[in-house]
Amino acid sequence: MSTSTSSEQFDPHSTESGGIQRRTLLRLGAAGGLGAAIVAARGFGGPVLAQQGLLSPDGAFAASSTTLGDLLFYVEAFPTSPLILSPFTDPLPIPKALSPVPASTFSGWAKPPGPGVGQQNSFGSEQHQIWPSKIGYPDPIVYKIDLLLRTHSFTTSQVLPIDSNGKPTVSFDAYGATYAAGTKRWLPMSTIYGFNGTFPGPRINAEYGKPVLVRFENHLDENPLGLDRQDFGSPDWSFLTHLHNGHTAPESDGNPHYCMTYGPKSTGYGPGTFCDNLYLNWPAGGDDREKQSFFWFHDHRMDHTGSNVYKGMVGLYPIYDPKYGLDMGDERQGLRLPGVRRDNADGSFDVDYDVPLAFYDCRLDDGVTTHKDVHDGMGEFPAAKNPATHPEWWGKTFYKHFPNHGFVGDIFTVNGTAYPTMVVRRRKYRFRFLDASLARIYEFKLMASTKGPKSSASLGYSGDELEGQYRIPDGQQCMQFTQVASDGGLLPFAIKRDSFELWPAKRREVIVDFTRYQDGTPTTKGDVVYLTNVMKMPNGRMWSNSSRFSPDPNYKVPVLKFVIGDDAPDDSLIPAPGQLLRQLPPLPGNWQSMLDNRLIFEVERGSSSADVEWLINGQPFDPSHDGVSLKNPAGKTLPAQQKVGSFNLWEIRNGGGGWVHPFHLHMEEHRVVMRNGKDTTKGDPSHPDDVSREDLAALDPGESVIVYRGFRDFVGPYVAHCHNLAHEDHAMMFGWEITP
Amino acid sequence: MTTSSTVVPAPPTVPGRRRAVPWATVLPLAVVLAYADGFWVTSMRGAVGAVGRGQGPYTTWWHESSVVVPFYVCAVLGALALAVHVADRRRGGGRTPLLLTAGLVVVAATLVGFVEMAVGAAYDFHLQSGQLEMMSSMRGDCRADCIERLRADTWWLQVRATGVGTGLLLLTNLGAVAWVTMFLGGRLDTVRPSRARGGWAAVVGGRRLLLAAALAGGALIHVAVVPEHLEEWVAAAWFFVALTLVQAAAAVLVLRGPVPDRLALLLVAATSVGPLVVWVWSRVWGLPFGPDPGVPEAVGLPDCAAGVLELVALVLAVALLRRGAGDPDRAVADRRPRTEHLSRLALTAVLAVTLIGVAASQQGWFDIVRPENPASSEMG
Repeated sequence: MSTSTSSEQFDPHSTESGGIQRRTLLRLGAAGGLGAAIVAARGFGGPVLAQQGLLSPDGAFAASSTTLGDLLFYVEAFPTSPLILSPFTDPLPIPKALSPVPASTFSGWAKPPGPGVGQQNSFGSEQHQIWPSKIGYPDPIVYKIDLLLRTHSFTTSQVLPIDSNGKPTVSFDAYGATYAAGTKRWLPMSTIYGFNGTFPGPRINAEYGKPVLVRFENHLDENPLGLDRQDFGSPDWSFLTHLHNGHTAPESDGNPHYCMTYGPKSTGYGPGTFCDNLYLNWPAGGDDREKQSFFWFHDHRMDHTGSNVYKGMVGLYPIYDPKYGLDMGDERQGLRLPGVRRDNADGSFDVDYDVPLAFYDCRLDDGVTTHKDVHDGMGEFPAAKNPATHPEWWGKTFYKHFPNHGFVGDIFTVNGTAYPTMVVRRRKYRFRFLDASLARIYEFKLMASTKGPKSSASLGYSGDELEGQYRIPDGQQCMQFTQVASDGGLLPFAIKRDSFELWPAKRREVIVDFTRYQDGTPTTKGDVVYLTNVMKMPNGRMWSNSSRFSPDPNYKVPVLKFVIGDDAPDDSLIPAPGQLLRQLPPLPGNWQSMLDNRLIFEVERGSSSADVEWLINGQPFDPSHDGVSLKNPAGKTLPAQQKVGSFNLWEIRNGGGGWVHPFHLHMEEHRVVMRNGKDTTKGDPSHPDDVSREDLAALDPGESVIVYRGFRDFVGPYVAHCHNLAHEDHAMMFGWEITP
Repeated sequence: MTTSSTVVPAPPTVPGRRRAVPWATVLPLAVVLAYADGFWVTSMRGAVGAVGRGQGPYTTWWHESSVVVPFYVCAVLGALALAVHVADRRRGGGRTPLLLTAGLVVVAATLVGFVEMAVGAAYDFHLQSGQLEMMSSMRGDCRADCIERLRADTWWLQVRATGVGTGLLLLTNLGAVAWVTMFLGGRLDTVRPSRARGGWAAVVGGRRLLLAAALAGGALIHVAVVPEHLEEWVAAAWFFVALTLVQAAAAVLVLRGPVPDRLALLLVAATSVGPLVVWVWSRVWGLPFGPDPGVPEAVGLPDCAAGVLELVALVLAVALLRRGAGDPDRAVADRRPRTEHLSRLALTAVLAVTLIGVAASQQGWFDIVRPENPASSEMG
């Protein structure tokens, strides 16, 4: 084997036909190989890249970087949770309305709530910006919620410890014992930081026109049960509660931009402190068209939102509209949406047949997966001595802050219970769906199954395919949803849907008629319908399969079992086609003339470093400053500041990289007017609820949306951020401000 | 890999012919290797680099890969020179084993890629360290020992990334060299026969040409930084305009005549020592005048590149002065092929440094983060 030291004229082979042929063949081979590689890359890699929004020059690099990141940086080694052996036996918990605190009680508090200077928190440093009397509202109904260290059980079923191949494996307990593979076990209780010590936390049924003040008081330093706090949750036990997405003043909004610059001037409210969040239950601008219908409150402590939410800080806050009885929880009035209201003696009320469903996925420790986390290097949980395995935590919730693509679990829970069952009456129900997961996106269908759920392990699945634990291989869609509301409240018109996606923090409200199937056949007592997730999302980056992209007909994971029960009176109605539910706030006729001067924010992955990875406009979150827009078409680079009472267009772009981003804007609901450069004000079949108001823009890879939004009533600092909480906690957030 | 032949006799040594650089082999190899390696360098930065760097990776890739092409030319030239040298020692001339040549090219290119990756990793680590301190001060929940732990983790991440990256570069370069070899008909020429030596090198000698190139390179970098200095301090801009003119004139003077002019060489020495002294002073103690008297200026890529070229010019000028300005350049008489390769390598190296300096002076060509804000990138 040799090479010539000279040019071709010295090479005798250059004059031989055999040599020429060989060289020509080699050259052709090189050209052909290159061509074949290009064709193969386009044929095989193209569709995959296209689905992830990576079919671009930058996208190819992003895909490559991500793969290298997976190899070098990300730790996506999560435990396989033990298999719940008797799913769909625990009843679905439906939180009851929390009782308010009587005036006689809270007036006796050492620091009672009130409108005065220093009355907004325990530091005595802040004041409520607008006390209800200022807008002609009555004094607020007062609730008290304590942040408590308690326990929670996701199931009462026995479990079988399995490994990532779905095979039985060993297990452990807190006392150092090891149990042989195949041993059925009972799960230990998981440690939670809960609102009033429960998961999910309390449900506050609110009404427009009746302000609510919630005193959140931190008792997380108290450990009366002697619990092991494990290695997640804010390490200083602080909290910061955000009512998602209440129209509130910054001091009650629970956002880090405010919290770091006012009030506690730290990442959150520590043990022994309290803050009074005042929820005016006042629509933006006093405009009835801005009324919403389903909030939830969750922790927003800077850098630890994900771990605190995962550790239990979730509460529910449906809000009803009593004006003209439109949507007050009484199906005999107004829109006649399902709901039978029962007023309680303590001033609260419950609404039957109106059921919140909070979805949350978790993983339970297998005792052999190493806990390895960037936060270990920050000395946050020294007692854990990570990196280490923790057999003593077997069966309790497992969490990893960073680095990962976003945390996804393999056990799906509803209202804190894994694979629950709900016996429903033969009538219509209103369900308020909430995705309280950290990163998982769901796509729900209503399915019937003759053979019922089979464990994924028994069907031969392994690895990520085990996520969800059970499948209904013979599942067939049997009912439709009638969607009546989204994040921003009632839709203008109801939408019939076979399925719908639920992104983190999003809400969707639907009516399900349990009296008949979609083909018109009546249901009978004892029939079973499964609420089924058909979106496969193996990690926190994005789905691998869904109805919109590469559907996997075998991925049908039942998450909630409905069992048809007895008949019940039903005065509710499914809105007729075209019936107006809630008028949309008007868009100005000249909104397109505002495009040039819009603010532009691009969310993107930076690269790995310490605990910062995610950026907006190339910047990590700086809680002490407002963000800055990219240069807009008018050539301006504007600060993220808006005058109070103003309206503007904001563009949110997904900078690519193969991630989806549920992007949440605090304060007022927005309306998507353009998606990927196309006008959506007349509707977009692929995003049917773009015609509604929302507080979270669901950004597919490479997508951009332009939203129209207002900035009314309050002034001060707010935030906007990705609601994949691993992204938010690692700097994908920016501060913005409403100025006087 | 296929070879052109294993039985081809040594090429005839024709009187009056010399063995020149086979540019038709060198350039395709260098370009393919630079862009292939650049893919991994850019991707690795996207994976573990500093946040804010690595945005717009496609632009970064083609910008930076284009700038480092001359370094790959140097690597390939060096590898070919070494291959010829080894072949000469083994058999006194004749065919160079293809695998040896290809292997040396792969190793040399991988070395360049490794340096590129390691320099990038070091810069990333520098930025990430700053970012750690910034984030810690922002939150106040990460004290000194915690920062040190995070810094150590980050360092280890960069080391691992560079190690893995080097492995990827090696594999990629193996494939790239094999592919180019196939495309060249299964051969890698290490030399190209040429009838007679011509061009500038024959007239003025390799070292004078190198000296002129270094001066011209320095002049190019200095003229490239004029607009930036115009914004800061007009006097500085005029200084760089003057320096550019002097260096350009010195380059022309050096090339004039059959032998280098002593006066011209003294001018070269002066135009090299002067800026070098000013540069060192301004970076260490800060100039005693100007907008920020007494404040040391930040060290940047363009000024480092210009400094290197000035140092090269100074050394060459002194060498030529010591030998005697009237002596012919010995390189002219040296017709050994590796010397031809090495003289071209030196010229290409000067070009490479010039290109780095000029590119770094233009905003958006390098993924450099402004010192005042570690998260912001200058990428356009």
